[in-house]
Amino acid sequence: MACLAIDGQVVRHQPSLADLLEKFVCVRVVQANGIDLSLCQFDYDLTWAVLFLNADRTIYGRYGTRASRELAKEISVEGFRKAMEGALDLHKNYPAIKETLAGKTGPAPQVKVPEAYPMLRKVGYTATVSSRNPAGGNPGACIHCHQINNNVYRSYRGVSTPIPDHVLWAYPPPNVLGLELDVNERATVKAVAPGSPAAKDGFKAGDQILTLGGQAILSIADVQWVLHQSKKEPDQLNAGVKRSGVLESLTLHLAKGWRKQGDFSWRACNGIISLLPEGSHDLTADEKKKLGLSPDAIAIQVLWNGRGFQKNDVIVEVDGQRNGMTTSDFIAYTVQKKKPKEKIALAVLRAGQEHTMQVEVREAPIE
Amino acid sequence: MQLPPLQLVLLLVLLAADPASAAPAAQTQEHNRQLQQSLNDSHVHSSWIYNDVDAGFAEAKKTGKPLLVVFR
Repeated sequence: MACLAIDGQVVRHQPSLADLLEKFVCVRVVQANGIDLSLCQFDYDLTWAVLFLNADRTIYGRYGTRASRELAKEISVEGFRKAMEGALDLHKNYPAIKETLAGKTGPAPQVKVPEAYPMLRKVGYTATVSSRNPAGGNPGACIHCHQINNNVYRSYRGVSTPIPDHVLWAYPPPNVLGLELDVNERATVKAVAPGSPAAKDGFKAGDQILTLGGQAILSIADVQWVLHQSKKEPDQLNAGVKRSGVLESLTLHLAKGWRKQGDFSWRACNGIISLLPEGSHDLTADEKKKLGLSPDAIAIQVLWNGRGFQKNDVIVEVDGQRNGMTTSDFIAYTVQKKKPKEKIALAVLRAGQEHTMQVEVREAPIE
Repeated sequence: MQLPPLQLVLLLVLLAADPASAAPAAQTQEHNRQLQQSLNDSHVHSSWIYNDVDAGFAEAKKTGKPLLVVFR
């Protein structure tokens, strides 16, 4: 189990959180076997995720965000504490507010429990984990949360159907709309990117987002939940914000293709579909310039040896295309435009020379 | 058919004493304790319910507290 500082502080009831933790019934779930997927819906690629609930299974909110390879950049003890306070406020006003929380429960999942996914069932995962050998072979091994996403991917790839944008660019972080939220608050705007959709919609630094799409917001994860559920493009969401103590109503516009500004290349679930499973780096504009490439050029640096790549190869052409493709776009291209085992023609820069190569699109293997 | 009061009491006593009716919860608890040990996840405060969301809901109903579920 990887070390995560916030986890230790929470489960040990450190003084900074103990007074609030005592007001909850606290449950720790260490494997996904048997969890009710109609209830337990959150970003399954997270290392640490929290649900706040009523005893009648109504969800108050979520906590836990990750938007890059860095583990704990978007979470903090302070932010978590404020989310807990928010959940307690909602609990105090329950059941009067019950109807307003309906959107916090997601749509029916593909399967009721993770082990019901055909591939997981086939290799012997079960509802219970063997306490003798939880990490060992099946049956009896722990199902990791990211394996749920793996199997969502498989449900499309197995029938040669393109994986939709909202599945690949799942749980969009608010910065794709130009909103940088303060990790030490519930959902307070720290900065708004100039010219971004959020800037055009009138958001300002210091705004506290209290509601979005009609849902009470306790955390950045709650903002992501609302964005994740918004699958229509274009779309718009009402936002209730507190600005200098005054309540304001704003409209957040989601233009066509808005979620594709994000980066999903960090996700563990990509391991089964990506041609670059061991890591890659999208070169910055400066790094591209040094190689004589334009700012819009494809320039994906491969960080390992394998599949015909050599470490530090830079992919500069994909099926004849030389512009406008990040690692996320490249992964999406392989699972939206190509079928398993089809070939992709690439050009890579290797030690200053351009080489061409063909790589085969992956099938999603059994774990 | 209604049971005579004494038989009803006896039936209730027998049901309460039946080790099989209490066994699943105890087994789950013991299993989760072993799981916690094998995962070396030993620093968890004693008040936490380990790996049993249903037990958490039951406790939340009993106490009137909200539930906080950490997925790790």
